[in-house]
Amino acid sequence: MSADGAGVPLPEKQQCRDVVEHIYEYVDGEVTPQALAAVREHLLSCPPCLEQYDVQVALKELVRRCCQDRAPDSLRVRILAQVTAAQATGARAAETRVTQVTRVRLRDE
Amino acid sequence: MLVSIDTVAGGDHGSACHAAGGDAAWGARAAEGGASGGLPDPRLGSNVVSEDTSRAPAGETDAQRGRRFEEEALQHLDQLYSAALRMTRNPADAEDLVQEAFTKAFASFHQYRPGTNLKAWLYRILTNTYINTYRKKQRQPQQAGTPEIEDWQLARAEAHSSTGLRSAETEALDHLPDSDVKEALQSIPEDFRMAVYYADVEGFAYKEIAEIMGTPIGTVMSRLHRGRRQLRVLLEDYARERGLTGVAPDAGAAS
Ligand SMILES: [Zn+2]
Repeated sequence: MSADGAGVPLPEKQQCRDVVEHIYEYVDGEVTPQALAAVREHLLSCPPCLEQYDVQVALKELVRRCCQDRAPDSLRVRILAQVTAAQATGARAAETRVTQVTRVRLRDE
Repeated sequence: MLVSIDTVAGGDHGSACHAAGGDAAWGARAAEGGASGGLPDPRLGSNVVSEDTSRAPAGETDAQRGRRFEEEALQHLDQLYSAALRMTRNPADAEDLVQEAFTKAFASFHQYRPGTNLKAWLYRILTNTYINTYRKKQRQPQQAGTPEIEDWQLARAEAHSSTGLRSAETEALDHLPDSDVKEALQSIPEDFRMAVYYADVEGFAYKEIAEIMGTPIGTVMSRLHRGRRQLRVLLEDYARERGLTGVAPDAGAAS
């Protein structure tokens, strides 16, 4: 890897540029097995590209590890209660709705 | 007629509706959500009501469908809640959003074709619910994105990485606390954030992310690309602040 005047190393080989350009697709497994095999071969012979790849894999793993929250139990309970209430009335919903609403309206008045 | 249902329910939040129980409460609760939030989903009232009357797939009773929903859909609750947290960026809104999404999902569960991707279907509903209601009433104002991360900064980060400090960077990333990663994710623009979340946490294929987000695959790729670059710069900063990298970036690049 050579550096230009600004101290920014640029990939020398076209192959490196291709790898860097498609690095997320490789990391995400969005390439054909043939393409992946070709990239692996390049990575093994090109430390800078390999490290670039490693960082991306580490980053992906980090996000996966850090962003798995658990829903509060109270939320689960509330959703279950809604489902249960909805299925309890089920098919009668259409007719009962009318009477229930009427009842509600009478209470309001 | 149907309009008056919502008016009644919306007028008196709930006690009477809860007493009435059953499906009226279901519809009322949805309407209440819209009314109390001050932002009724234009589709919500009519949707919930009309779904109820037409929900009757052949060969399945409501009780069976309810059980199936509990078994198949509710097992994804933690994941949807995690995603909702990334969207809303606060737990209270995330809970409301997830509850509303599951309410809608159950109301249209008869439309879900068994054997297809249930999780992606649920995420699609979550995303739509979020866009239609929550995005407009965010308690925390949406930040004007990241302070635009300049190209030179990104170039520097990448150059920095190829000077031999890369494995140090990988090492540093591994030692960052969860809170830093969550904070960094929260500070990148929403579309980038969710694309990264879907790809990294859920492991969805680009095609699935495109369906969930309602965008072409090319847009997904560009969001992932930009989101990850910004995320990486932010995390490198956090690692440096925490003394995890040890070497200042310019020192590495200059040598
Ligand atoms: Zn290379």
